[in-house]
Amino acid sequence: MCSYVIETKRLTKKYGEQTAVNAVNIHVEKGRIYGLLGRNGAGKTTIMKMILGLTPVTSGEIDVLGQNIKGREKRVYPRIGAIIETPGFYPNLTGTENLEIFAKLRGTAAPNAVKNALDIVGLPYRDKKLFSKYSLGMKQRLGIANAILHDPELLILDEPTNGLDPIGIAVVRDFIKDLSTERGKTILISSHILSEIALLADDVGIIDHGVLLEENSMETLKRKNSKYILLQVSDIPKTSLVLERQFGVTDYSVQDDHSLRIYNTSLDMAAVNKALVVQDVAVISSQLCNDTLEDYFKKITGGEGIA
Amino acid sequence: MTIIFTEILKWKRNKTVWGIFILTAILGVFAVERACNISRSSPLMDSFGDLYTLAFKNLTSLFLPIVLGMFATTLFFDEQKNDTLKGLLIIPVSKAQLYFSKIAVVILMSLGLCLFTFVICIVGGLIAGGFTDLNTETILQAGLLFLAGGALIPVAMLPIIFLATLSKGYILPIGAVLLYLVPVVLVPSQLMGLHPLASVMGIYPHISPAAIEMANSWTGNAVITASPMTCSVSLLAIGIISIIVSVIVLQKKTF
Ligand SMILES: Nc1ncnc2c1ncn2[C@@H]1O[C@H](COP(=O)(O)OP(=O)(O)OP(=O)(O)O)[C@@H](O)[C@H]1O
Ligand SMILES: [Mg+2]
Repeated sequence: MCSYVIETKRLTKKYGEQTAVNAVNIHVEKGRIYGLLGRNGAGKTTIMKMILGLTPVTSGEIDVLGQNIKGREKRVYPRIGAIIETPGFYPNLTGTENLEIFAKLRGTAAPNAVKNALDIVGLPYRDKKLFSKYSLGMKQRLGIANAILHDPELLILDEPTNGLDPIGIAVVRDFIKDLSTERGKTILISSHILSEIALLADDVGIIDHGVLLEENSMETLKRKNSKYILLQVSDIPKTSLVLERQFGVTDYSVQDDHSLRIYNTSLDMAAVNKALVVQDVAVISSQLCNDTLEDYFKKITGGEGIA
Repeated sequence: MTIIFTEILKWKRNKTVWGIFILTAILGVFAVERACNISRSSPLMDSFGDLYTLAFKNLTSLFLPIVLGMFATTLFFDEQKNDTLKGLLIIPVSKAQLYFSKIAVVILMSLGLCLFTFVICIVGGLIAGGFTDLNTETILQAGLLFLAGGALIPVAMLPIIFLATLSKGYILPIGAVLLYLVPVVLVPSQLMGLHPLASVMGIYPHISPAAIEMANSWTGNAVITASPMTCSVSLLAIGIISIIVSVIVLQKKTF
């Protein structure tokens, strides 16, 4: 009955007195990219660590791939690939040697898995360079390669583009998208960069101070925040009729008893106003709104927002 | 098995390992050098037993416990320092698996160093020459002694390895190794059956005849009251307790 790949139920984490994650219910659907968006210290990493069993859960439950995670770690974790914060590798080994160690420990990886994974992230195979001499971006790429080594169904990526240059970010973004669209992977990704999530995610969870403020599809979120005409009128049903019959407008949404949003901003509002008056509908106000996602994010987190 | 193998792979290009082997070689060469310089008519060096027990003593009395303590600390601490632990845990590799594989590596290291010194002794014995009793039987006895030392000293170090799993740095375990050694150096005979490292010393004389002389010089000819049985049981018991406590503490620890 539940088709979620990850579902948390009132997931809570306390570090002493501080509640880092507060009764969070997230729902990650199969084959989609779920973006966990929040500012520094919002609790993104902590949620991911709890899903991966790296830190104990204070209360609440986690279901992954259709089963409650508790006691089934051995069966569930091999189906997940993850990077948490900056990836850790052995500094005295090369990238290839590092991946070979992880591949051996996993035991499930295909024979040429290491080479494939390195190819995907654009790192050379059997290069002599030691991990300790890697740049931040190379380290991050190696981390991603390690996460996809065993072809997992679910990827949990904590700020995977951290430290990458703009071109690197675009490359990683493209192949994360490919993993989802072409290979049907489910991906949970966190970021504090709104534009990144906006470009990548199908669904978004906005988290602030450990509380999940909103969970919605990107489509809905974008729609909520695109350009629209906010129309406040005395009679919504009559207005709807006028809009549909006389102007052929179907792309609008009703906000409450007295206001609706029209997403076709090129509509001749003077004509609409006239038509409404004819129908005995009082037009209280009509204004063009242009909220960006960022404005929205600021509004719901009640803070200064994020870049 | 794979996990032990990968533990060894992790040490590729590591300078510490080379350093340890070079120091071990130097210690072995010291013993051989003594064998070359002391006449075969002196009771100090009139048999192959004198040579190999000297080399064995050089290796196992202080050097090996210190090296193994430090090595174990690095094994556990580096996994934390390099931040590789989370990567291993989500594979998932359990903390107990990780602990046992690292213990296995410590034992392999210990056996390796003992075997290395053993080979130096044989080669050195041939080079120094004049050992009338250098034959298969004495070589076998020497081999057994080195094998026993290589296997038992890591067991005696398990309480220190417990501290290594617990601590967040190098200082505590390395300080503890030194403190651990002091009583054994001061009063070895009284501690046999109580202190693991002293217990190991109490076991050697029952493995190789030449080790009786060695144990006497160690303890200043004190009468050893503890039986080898008491020593073995105590060594094993303390080892097992250390393992259990280590695994429990590792499970509790979060990162
Ligand atoms: N081991 C810990 N002990 C105590 N508090 C912690 C610990 N780890 C995280 N916290 C606290 O929990 C809160 C959430 O941290 P978390 O790392 O999940 O944030 P985040 O959303 O990942 O932030 P960032 O964008 O900086 O990575 C923070 O206030 C942090 O101080
Ligand atoms: Mg984080």
